[in-house]
Amino acid sequence: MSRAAREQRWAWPWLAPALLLCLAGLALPLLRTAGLAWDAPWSRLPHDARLWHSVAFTVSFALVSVAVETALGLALALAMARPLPLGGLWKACLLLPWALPAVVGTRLWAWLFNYQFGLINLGLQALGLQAVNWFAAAPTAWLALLLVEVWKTTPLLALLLLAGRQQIAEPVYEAAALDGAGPWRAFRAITLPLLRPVLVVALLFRVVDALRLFDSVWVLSSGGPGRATESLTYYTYALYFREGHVAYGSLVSLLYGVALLFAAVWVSRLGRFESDLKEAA
Amino acid sequence: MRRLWRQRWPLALVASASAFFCFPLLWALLTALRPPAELWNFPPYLPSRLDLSSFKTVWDSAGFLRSIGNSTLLSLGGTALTLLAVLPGAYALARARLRWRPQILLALLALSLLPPVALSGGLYRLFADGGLMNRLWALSLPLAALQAPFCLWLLTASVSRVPRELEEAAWIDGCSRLGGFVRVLLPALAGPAVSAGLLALAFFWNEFLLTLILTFDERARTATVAVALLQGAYQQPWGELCAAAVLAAAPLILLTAVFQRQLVKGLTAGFSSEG
Repeated sequence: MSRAAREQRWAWPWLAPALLLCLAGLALPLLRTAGLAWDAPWSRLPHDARLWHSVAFTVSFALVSVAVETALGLALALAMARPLPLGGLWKACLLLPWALPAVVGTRLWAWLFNYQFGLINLGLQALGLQAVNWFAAAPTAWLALLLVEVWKTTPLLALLLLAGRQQIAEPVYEAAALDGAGPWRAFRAITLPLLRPVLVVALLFRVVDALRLFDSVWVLSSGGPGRATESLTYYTYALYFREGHVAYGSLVSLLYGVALLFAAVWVSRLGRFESDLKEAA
Repeated sequence: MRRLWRQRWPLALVASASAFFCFPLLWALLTALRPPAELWNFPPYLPSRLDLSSFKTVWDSAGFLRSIGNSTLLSLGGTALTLLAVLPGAYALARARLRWRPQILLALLALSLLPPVALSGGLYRLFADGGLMNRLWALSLPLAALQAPFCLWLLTASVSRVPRELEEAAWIDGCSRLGGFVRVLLPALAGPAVSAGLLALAFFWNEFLLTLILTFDERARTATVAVALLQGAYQQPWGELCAAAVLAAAPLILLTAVFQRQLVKGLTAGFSSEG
C-alpha cells in the first residue's frame, strides 16, 4: 500500500456507518429479492402483455407529465424572478403540495374528483355540462392522474429553476437589452443556456421519479379502468403482494430497477450531465 | 392594455398557480369544518356554521392519534439515524483523498434513484422471516438507507465548503480528529444538517409503499398509511377523511412554514451540481 493510501485509511471507519446502513437497508433486500427471483419464469417476460402495457403507460405518462411540469415550472420560475408583491407568500403556497404526503394529497383530489359530490363535477354541472365519471374511462383517468401529478411536482421544479434563475446576474440582461434583444431573444440566448445545468439535473430527478409513479395510482385508479393506468411500480406491487407471484414479481421488480438506472444514465448523457457530475465529484 | 399585460402577467400567473396549489387543502379544510348534514348540499356554498364534529370523530378514534404518534417516532428516529450515519461519512468523503471517491459518489447517486419496489419483495421476506413486521425501528433501517445517499451527497458538498484551516487549528490546539469534528465542523454544518434533516423528516413522514407493506397491524400504522386506508362502512366519510388528512399533514406544513428558507436551500443545493 502506498504512503498516500495509508494516510487516507482513517476515512474508512468514518464512512462505515453510512456504508453499513446502505448494505443492511439496500443491498441485503436487493440480494434477497434476487434470491426470490432465482427460479422465476424468464420465458414469460416477452409474452407478458400486461408488463409491456405498463411499460408503455409509465414511459408515456412520465414524458407527458414531466413536459407539462417543466413548461409550467419554467414559466412560474421566470415570473417569480421578478419583484412581485407578497413575495414570500407565493413561495409558501408552492411548498404546500410538496409538504403534503403524496397519498394524503391524492386522497384530497379523490374527493374533488368524486362522481356525485366532487367539486369538479359540481362545477361542470353548474356550467351546464355533464358530470364525468373520471376513473371509468382511460382518457379521463389519464387526465386526472396528470392533473394530480402536475399539482404535486411542479412547485419543486419551479423553486429549483427559480434558484437557478437567480444565479444569473441581472447586468447580463441589461447588456442584452441595450443591444436591442427583446424578451424572447433574451430567453433563448441567456436564460435557457445558463439554466441548462440546473434544468438537466432537475429533469433527471423528475423523470426518474415519474417513472416510479405509484401513490396516486394506488389511491385514485388502482391501475384502472381495466389496466389502462397500471404503472410499472403498481404492476410489480400487484404481482407480488396482491396476486402472489413472488418469483416473477421479484424478477420484474429487479429488471425494472436496472432499467431505471439505465434510463437515468441515458437522461444524464442527453444533457451532457456527466461532465458536470465529474466536476462536482 | 398590452403594456399593462406585460407588467401584470407574472403576478397573474403566480397568483393563479398558487391558488391551484393551495386549493385541495383549503377545500379539505372547508369540507372538514362543514356540519356533516351539509356535506351533500348542492350547490356547495360555504357551510352555515363551522362544525368541529368531523375533527372530533377523528381525534377520538384511538387509532388515528396513535398513527400520528407512530409517524412522529418513525420520522424523528429515522432522521436521527440518517444524520448519525451520514455526517461522519460526509466528512470522510469531503476531506480524505480517497481513490474511490468519484465511484462512491456515483454509486450513491445511482442508489438514490433505486425504485423502492425493487426492495419490497426481499424486504417483505426478510421482515417476515426475522419477526420484524410492524416494528417501526426495523422499518426505519431501509427507509434511512433510501434517504441516506441524497443526504450524503448534499452534506459532502457542505463539508467541502468549510475551510480546512478551521479544523487544523483545532488539531494544533490538541483536539483529536473526532474532537475537531464535533467542536468545529458540526457547528459550521448546522445549517446544511438542518436542511438535510428536514428533507429526511418529510421523506419518513410521507413514505407509503414500504410502510404499507411492512406494517399490517393497525397499531403500527403511520398517519400517511392510516389516511390512505381510511374507509367508511357504506360510503366514504369525506368529512372525516378531510379532517384526518388535515391533521396528518399539519405537522409537516407547520415545519415547512417555520423552516421555509432552510428547506428551499436544502432542496436547491441538493439539485444544483456545483454544490
